Amino acid sequence: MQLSSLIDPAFVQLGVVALDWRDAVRACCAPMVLAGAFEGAYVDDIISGAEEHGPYFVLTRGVAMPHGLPETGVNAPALGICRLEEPVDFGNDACDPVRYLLPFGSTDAEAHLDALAALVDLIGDSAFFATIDSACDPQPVLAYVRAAEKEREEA
Amino acid sequence: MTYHALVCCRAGMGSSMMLKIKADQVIKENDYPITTRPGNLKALKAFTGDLVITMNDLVDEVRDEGIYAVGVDDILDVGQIKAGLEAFLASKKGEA
Repeated sequence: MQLSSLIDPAFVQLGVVALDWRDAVRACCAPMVLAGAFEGAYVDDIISGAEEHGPYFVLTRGVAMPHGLPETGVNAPALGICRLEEPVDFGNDACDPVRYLLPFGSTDAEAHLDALAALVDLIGDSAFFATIDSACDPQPVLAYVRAAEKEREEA
Repeated sequence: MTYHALVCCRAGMGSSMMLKIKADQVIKENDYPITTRPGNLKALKAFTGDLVITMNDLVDEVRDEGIYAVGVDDILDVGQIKAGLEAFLASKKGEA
């Protein structure tokens, strides 16, 4: 399954205002909850998991991929892209503050290995984040993801 | 001798998968005798391999189980992954 097929345009949010990391996690997951892909309990699990174990889903400088235990409430695989208006601290000194959130839920990670490999490339690509910074609507962001996917396939 | 590593995060399907992809790149480039598989914290309880590669937040929980752990703060920090794996291999040299 391709990365772009996990991202509904409604899951791309640009300029979200969040008070702290918990607020940011709730806000970035809100469109998936609304669409029925995630249950509210899944979002609660992401937050309680980070409270218990630390922010294990902060990936690199400024970027986090909030995700939890799928059995707590993932109905359909989904990935969001969320740019915060002001970055927030998650408690990972090497990577704080975090401006970009990539909330993820999947019931079968093996099936999404290609998509996650594409995502590893994207989080190391400064032009991807420049596109997110300059975008006013989801289209340029989704177009960038699709173009990067095509490039991977041809490589 | 090939060492078996579990790449784990709390859920076993998000950051651990991405960390596995990155760790596999480092292992391949440097030809380290290590194979990896992904897992979650539950898989840790039944773990019989040689080391665990995980996000730094979870390192203490892994070490509490008495397992060698390589902690990573930033999955794109290839230098940190490389240094952690080399330290593991160096720790095994005396045993061989």
